[in-house]
Amino acid sequence: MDWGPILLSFKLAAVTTAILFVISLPISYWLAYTKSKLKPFIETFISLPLVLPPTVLGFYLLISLGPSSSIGKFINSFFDLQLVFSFEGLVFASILYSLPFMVQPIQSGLSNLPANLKEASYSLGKTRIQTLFRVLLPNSKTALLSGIVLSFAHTLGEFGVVLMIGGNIPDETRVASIAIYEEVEALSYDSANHYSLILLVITFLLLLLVYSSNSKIFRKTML
Amino acid sequence: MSQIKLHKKLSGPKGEMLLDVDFTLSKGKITALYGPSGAGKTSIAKMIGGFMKPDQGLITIDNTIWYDSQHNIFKKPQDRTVGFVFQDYALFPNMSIRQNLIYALPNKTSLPWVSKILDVMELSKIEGERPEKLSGGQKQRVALARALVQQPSLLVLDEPLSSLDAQLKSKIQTYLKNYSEERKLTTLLISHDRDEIESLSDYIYTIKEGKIVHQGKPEINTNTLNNKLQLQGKVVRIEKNENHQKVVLDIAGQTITIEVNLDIQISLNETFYLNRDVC
Repeated sequence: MDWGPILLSFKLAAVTTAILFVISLPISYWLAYTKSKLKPFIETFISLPLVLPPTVLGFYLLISLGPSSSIGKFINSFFDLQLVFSFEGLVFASILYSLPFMVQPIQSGLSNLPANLKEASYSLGKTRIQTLFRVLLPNSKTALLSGIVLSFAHTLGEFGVVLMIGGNIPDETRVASIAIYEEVEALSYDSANHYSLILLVITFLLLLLVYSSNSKIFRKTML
Repeated sequence: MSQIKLHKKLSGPKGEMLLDVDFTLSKGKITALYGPSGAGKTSIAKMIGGFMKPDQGLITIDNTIWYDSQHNIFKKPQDRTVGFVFQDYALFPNMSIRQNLIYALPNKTSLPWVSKILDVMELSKIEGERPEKLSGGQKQRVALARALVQQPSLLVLDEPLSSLDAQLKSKIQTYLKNYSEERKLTTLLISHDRDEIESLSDYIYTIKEGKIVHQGKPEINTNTLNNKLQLQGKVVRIEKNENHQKVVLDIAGQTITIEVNLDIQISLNETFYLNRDVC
């Protein structure tokens, strides 16, 4: 069995999750505490991938990032990057696609914290950044873990977006879910089964990790 | 001297309420805001802390301006050097008691100061515990200790001693009183508990529906007593003269004679309470 697609899936999920975590922190923080009228629009935009068929997202990305589009030309000439049919393009699309899975748990984790934790820290002369990293985030560990694991698992399971923007290039864009589809089309069900089983088991274990750590914390607070 | 003048339209469960207060705080003294819940006490605390913006007003603490609507001055909460003891403590759950206090230190050079406060508050033995393991009284002491660690210029206490037992309460009260006087710390005490206010504060503002309705010194000064003294006895004899009446009481087998104003109605064999309304 060729392990390439599985490894590529994991690489994609790890890179996407790492970048997502960094960019989701300020977004979640802003959404949790803002009183801006723009909030519902931003929330809607971030939640779109939850309901939109992945192919729609993939289609628009393909059109807007393709080498003939102005954005695609700009990125290509300035960063020497091609965002369609490349690993970098998959990362970019995955970030958009998994954004709600990272932003929403962190946002709700922060807004569920008692408001006076933040006020107490401010009254002790601590800045917003100090308060975020020393008080707010350490007390939202479950939310952070949920965000990380859900984004990782969701990226592993990606298919439509990858197919649209990445195609099927071995070791570049041929992730496990694409490989399964291809094996089925070629009627090699055994191979498809291997890939599927590995994905199933790993995804199950990841979700189990989230739920068991959630219930552990739940039990702790109940005692 | 510190002055607080606040004007803000608040909307609460009972509809809109106009908060309009103007009061002063004295250095080294404990000033109390007393009133029922919903009177606007916590909103005042929040505005002093910088967590809520008044519509208009002025806050000067020790002659430093924290807020002045006329000159568009609004100091951030971080720059206000206010020690807050929140009603529900607001201890950081991810830190031990000691870490909560160390976090509050402006610089890490004053660690012995942390140990001293832990000692005074009788927290040294449990300094490694997380807040979730503490009783209400312990949490309150940690919150008070944490507020004092940063040596604030103003200490705001929101219902600070409500869940302490009597013995500890009097200990902390004494400490707080001495600390305020020694360090010339301005303290604002917020409470709906009349006993707590009277035993702790030097001056009381009574607030109702957003306005100050009464102000003055506490009725009795029980600072030296801490706990209220009350004796009861049976009236065994009454002798009246022109100015007053002499009442002989039997208190647990001992008889004592007291003088009472004529306008107080007393009859034989009734139980008589000796407390603050008797001179």
